[in-house]
Amino acid sequence: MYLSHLIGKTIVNKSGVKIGKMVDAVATRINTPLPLVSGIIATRGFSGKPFFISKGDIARLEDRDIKLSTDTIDFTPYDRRDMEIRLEKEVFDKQIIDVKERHLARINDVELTIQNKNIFITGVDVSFRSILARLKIPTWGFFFKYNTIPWEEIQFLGTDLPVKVKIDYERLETLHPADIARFIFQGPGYRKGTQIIQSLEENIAADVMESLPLDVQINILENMSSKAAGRIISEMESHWGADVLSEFPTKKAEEILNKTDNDKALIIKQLLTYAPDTAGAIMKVEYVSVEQNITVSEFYDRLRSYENLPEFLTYFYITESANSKKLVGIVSLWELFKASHRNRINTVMIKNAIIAKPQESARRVLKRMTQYDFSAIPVVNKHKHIIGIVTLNDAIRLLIPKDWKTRIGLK
Amino acid sequence: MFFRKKTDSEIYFIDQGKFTLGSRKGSLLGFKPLLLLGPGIIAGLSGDDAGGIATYSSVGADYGYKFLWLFTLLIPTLAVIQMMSIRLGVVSGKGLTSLIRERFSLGTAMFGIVSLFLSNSLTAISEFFGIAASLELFMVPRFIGVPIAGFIVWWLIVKGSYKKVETLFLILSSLFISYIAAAILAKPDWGHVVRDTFIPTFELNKEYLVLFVATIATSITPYMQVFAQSSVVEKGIGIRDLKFAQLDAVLGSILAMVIAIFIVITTGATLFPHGIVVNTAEDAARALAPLAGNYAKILFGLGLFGASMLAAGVLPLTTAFSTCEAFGWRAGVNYSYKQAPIFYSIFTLLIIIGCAIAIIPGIPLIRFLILAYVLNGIFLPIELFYMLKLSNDRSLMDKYVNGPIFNLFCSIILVVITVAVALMLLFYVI
Repeated sequence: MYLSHLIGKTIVNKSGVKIGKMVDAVATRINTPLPLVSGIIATRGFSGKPFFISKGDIARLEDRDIKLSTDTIDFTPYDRRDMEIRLEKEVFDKQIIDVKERHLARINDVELTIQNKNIFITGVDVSFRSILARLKIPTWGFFFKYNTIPWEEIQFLGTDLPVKVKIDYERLETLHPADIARFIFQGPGYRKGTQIIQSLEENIAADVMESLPLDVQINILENMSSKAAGRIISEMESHWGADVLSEFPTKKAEEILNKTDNDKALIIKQLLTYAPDTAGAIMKVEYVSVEQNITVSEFYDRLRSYENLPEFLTYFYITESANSKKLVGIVSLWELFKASHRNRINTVMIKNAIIAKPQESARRVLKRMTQYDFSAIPVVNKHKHIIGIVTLNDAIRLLIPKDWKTRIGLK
Repeated sequence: MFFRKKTDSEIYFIDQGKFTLGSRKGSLLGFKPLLLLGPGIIAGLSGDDAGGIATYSSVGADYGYKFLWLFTLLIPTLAVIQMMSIRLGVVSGKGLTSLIRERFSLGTAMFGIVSLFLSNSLTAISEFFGIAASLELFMVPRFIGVPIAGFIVWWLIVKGSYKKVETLFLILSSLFISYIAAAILAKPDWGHVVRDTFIPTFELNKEYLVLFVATIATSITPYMQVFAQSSVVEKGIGIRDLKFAQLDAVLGSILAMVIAIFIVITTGATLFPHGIVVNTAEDAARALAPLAGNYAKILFGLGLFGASMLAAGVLPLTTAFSTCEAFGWRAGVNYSYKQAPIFYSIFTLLIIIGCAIAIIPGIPLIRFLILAYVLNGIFLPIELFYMLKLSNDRSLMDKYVNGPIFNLFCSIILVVITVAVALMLLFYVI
């Protein structure tokens, strides 16, 4: 049953006397998987004030007629109570995310289901037919079809709600961060986008931010408190964090960095000293490095002991000792895999690694990487200490022409 | 995903260096070079498209400088309206049709969305008349040239490479700046020009009213606002850049209107005294003769071609985008036809209809161009009404609601265009 079919229908009381017309339905717990309709709103006469009829007083709610189970009706004008949302007024026409089909849609109608005297919102209709139906334009079923999506398959965004409802973005979180970024970018505008990002799990929020265009990242962080911004920056890869902070006025950037995880803030501050489009500016500092004198099996144990590992695990970087970060070699995952467990790391590693300097231009570094066919290259400072790595992904992203980014949705 | 250490050995290493945030500034002055071809300037320039050139040329040829006073009203009004669009886009982060859909009851919203759709479609179709007219100047037969141009436009859109050639068309259309030089070389009676600029005149007859409505509608086309708003949204321009974006809109509006004024002066000085009526593009091109001599046709033709091709690509796309956005349909060339059938259908149909009308033998292209904007004059007050409502909505705009000057200029033009349209229709009925 669709809400729009009920709107405008006459309501009769227990004795069969007309008492008004239905104009809206009120829902509570809109943020739950199965929102409940708490009652309907009706008006009386031509210019009557809307009044509320609780769902307990409704005997029958059908397309044909709406009948109440009582004769005593409270005509006091409707006043919103906590967390109550008017469906026709505040939910209709708003954007939602169709999680299954992964695209933005609009709520053209709301599907209601009555079960055990309870009225639930079970779906939303996104078809053109329901627009026509609401405009009272006759339609033909074979040409225009309803397209109703179950409520549990959509992410309700709660755009422009007059009351503060904490929306749960659990369903959104099941999507790939790049998809979430696309929705935030195309759909609800960055104000709402900021709210959504703030409500996501921090690590997901950080991944989403990394997929957004830089300008949008700035807008979003600007709309947040320094504390919230700092929390998200803490979870972002350092070089993305540095990218976005470099666009802020120094004072604001420092404020955000003060609220950022200490280690991360230090790294970002360091990254910010490199000129744009250099290896230093685009390098990742999330990589695995170990000292050269441990055995392969010891290294495996070490890896297992880490709480979480960096995304990039194709190469491991071997340093002189536990205290010195001087780069002495590189070992690939595959070589490590083949090597005997008792071997020392420095017997399997490649010495004479191809390296990049932090001041080098990203373009040159990318060229060297393609020349030697590496998917990453270590960046070392003047003391030959490793300070980061540039991955092919990061370098390419920087060098992709602008309109390409638009086409693949990176913008 | 941050890599935290659990053992004693360090995982990452921080190079000891001095922390200076300033060494990594993305932009020199703290803001993006928005002023260089920002959305406001492009939207403004797109106002001087085929329909604009046709209308302004006819105005000068038929009435000399008599319309110049209207531009003193149009400059601030256009600037104010474009600033409003930019502000709506920046503050809400949404396109105009989306806002209309969300902020009005369904019936009212649909009326606005359908009006905007019709208005934009009309403008989109009219651009193909411009293409046809410019091709004729180069002796390319319409029925060959127009379908080829239409196909090229469609292909560029589908391949998503319109942005690449946009600059070329933009450069071509900026050839119209040469009207400024042409006006000076045409040696108009400047005293007369100044007098007509500051002393309003008005006539009550059909021909005058038609051009009056067309001039307003081509200077302030609903499409320009839809485009400006959606581009600030697309570019992710935030509140922090609002001032610059608005400045960009003002500059764009002034540039567009200055070119318009000089077209009127040029045609008023060259065509009007000889009683030449602009019936074809060739007539209009003659106004550039004092500047380019025998090359006037080429100069005018290239400018018209560039302006028309630019708008012919952008308009069908914007129309399709804004309509789909309001209805919640998928839109974008990175979807396949199967995924976004309505989006593809809209812009493809607009291109086909535009081409189909433009190749009908013997149709008066210039008259049709003006007609398209006369009809747009009917949609303009509708669009302005919605924009005024939205930008005065405190729950949407917060402290960025319209100031009194914005409302004043909008209301003036709203009344002027409504009265003019009503009078024009009245004269047609009589």
